[in-house]
Amino acid sequence: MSPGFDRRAARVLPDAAAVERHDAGAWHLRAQRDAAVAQVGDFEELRSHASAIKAHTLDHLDRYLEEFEEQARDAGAVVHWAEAADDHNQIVYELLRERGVVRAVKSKSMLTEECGLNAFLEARGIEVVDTDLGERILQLAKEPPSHIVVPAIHKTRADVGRLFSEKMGGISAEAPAEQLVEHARRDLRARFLGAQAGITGANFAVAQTGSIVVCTNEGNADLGTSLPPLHIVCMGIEKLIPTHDDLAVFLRLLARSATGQAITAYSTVHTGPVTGRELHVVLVDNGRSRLLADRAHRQSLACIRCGACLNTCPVYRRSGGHAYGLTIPGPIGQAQSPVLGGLGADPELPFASSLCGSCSAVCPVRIDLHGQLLAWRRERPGYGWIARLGLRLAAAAFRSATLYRLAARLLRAAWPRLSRPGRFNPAGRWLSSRELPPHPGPGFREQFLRRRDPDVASTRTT
Amino acid sequence: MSARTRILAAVRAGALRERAHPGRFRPGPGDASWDALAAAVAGSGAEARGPFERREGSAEAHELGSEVAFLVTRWGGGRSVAAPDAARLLGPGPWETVSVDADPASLADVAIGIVSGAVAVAENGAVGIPAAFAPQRALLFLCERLILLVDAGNIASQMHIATEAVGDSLAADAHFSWIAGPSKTADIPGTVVVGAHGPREVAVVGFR
Repeated sequence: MSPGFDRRAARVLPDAAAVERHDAGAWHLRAQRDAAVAQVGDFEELRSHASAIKAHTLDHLDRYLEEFEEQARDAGAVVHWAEAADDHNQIVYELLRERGVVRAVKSKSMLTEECGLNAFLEARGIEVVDTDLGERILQLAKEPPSHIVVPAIHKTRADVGRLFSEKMGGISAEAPAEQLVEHARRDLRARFLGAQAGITGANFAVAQTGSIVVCTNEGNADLGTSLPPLHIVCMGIEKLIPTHDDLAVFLRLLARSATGQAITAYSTVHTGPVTGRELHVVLVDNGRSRLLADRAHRQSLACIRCGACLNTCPVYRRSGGHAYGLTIPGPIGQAQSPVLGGLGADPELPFASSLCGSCSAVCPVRIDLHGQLLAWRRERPGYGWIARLGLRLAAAAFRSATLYRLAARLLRAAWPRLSRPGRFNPAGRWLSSRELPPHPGPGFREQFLRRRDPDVASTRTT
Repeated sequence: MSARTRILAAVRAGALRERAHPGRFRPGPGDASWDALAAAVAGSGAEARGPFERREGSAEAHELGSEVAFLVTRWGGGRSVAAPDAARLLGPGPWETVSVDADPASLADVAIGIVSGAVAVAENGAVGIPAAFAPQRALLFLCERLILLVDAGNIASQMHIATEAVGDSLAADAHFSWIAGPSKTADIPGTVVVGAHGPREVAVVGFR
């Protein structure tokens, strides 16, 4: 485990109760996913089919992007291209500025989180209100999401109560969840009705017809796109799929993998603007073409952002999303971060994994997630000099019988001290979340000598 | 060189052209009955009622119209608004028909929205609503309670079949919504709360 990661995790989930709560919350989603999957006889075939569609699409992504652009334009949408986060932000800003927009509503979009759109627009005098309840909670708390489907999974009802009472007013910090949701509903309804533009992400983009597909359970994206006259879609170029027939495959997989629902409550397909309105689509690269060019790691671009790998991951569940320091936490974020994570991505992140393979087992598009982490470990050994020195010493000891014996004797002698947590214990940090096994007793060689010749053996100590 | 050209060139450099499209997914056998749909609708948090007999004429002259009028009463009345196709199916009753040109914000005080769907999906309880059936799309999300009318003859067992059935709408309409149950959120951890933004209750009412 990387030193940075475990320290961050300890800050995010500071005590055993917080770890337990977070673990249970994420695992509940995993359990619901399993129950939903059990209802679908051909779920494994669906996963394989979805994986093949995504692999084919990535292999022909340039053609599908061109087809999407042409079809979307024919339907009346305007397509923009952005190479980097700032280009994307600038395009969105210009669209809003040219139309005199000062109030916009936004539904959940991990891409706009990645690009830092809210801060960019707010610095230029445009109010952006996140309308997904989880995102709204975090906007008020000034925190980034810690999960891609349940952004405020690290918060408790009491946290939300205090936050609403302090930042929104008009409600008790002790109010039950239903009242908190009702309070947010009323506040946000007025903002929907007053908004001049709606910004959304895209769950999928269908090349065949130039359509954008947005899925929510709250209906916030639909309110944000059916009321204001301007709809701006911000999406990564990897969201393309070829046809509506393919979309049916993904809609069957997405919600079942994410929350265990048979389908998201609202899935809306937008093909061009409604008469008299505007639809703009910003296609964003921001590192994706670099990841696509990496044969060993391109498969992680197939991700449909369901969050199943987070919910099942024993490291994510016990560490919290903020420990990763990434826009997308969990195994998929780790797999993409060396290319998409930007300069700030922690090089030790691929080591924050047990490699148990649970993430790969639930991924609806069969990304070999734990294999990806293993590959990154090989390609970019990001561990520190102590670990490197330790591995060199171990390699030397395994090559020499004398050194091996010496090392074994030293470790056996130091065992009682090593197994006690403490400031001066070199293994102290490691032991903060693990236990050493009991002292292994004498080694094979010593036992052998003792049995053959007790007098000789008794002169040796371990 | 434009951003578009540079992005497409970079993507082309990584486009392997190796793997073929797997073709259409062939789903296993499915159940397209009203009962299967009703079970999935209940699973989505909505209520399935019917199917009821429908005839031309005023709402009180046929089962479907009477049932919807009953629901409107049960839900406490208030401003009830039907989309044009739903109003045609029901006939005159205790609802107004939304004008295609209405300002969407003028629907902010709608208590009950009534919209018909083109197809319903038995595996997940979703009702597919093309633009022609909901020309004022905001009605679906602004109303406090939503009634979705579904022809019991237009049930698809799975999404693949439903998609095929509404292929023309998906290709041509500015919008098409799949709606499964009421608006809900689990964003306050540990609780699922219904009525996050859109309708708090949804009834799927079948007819023949």
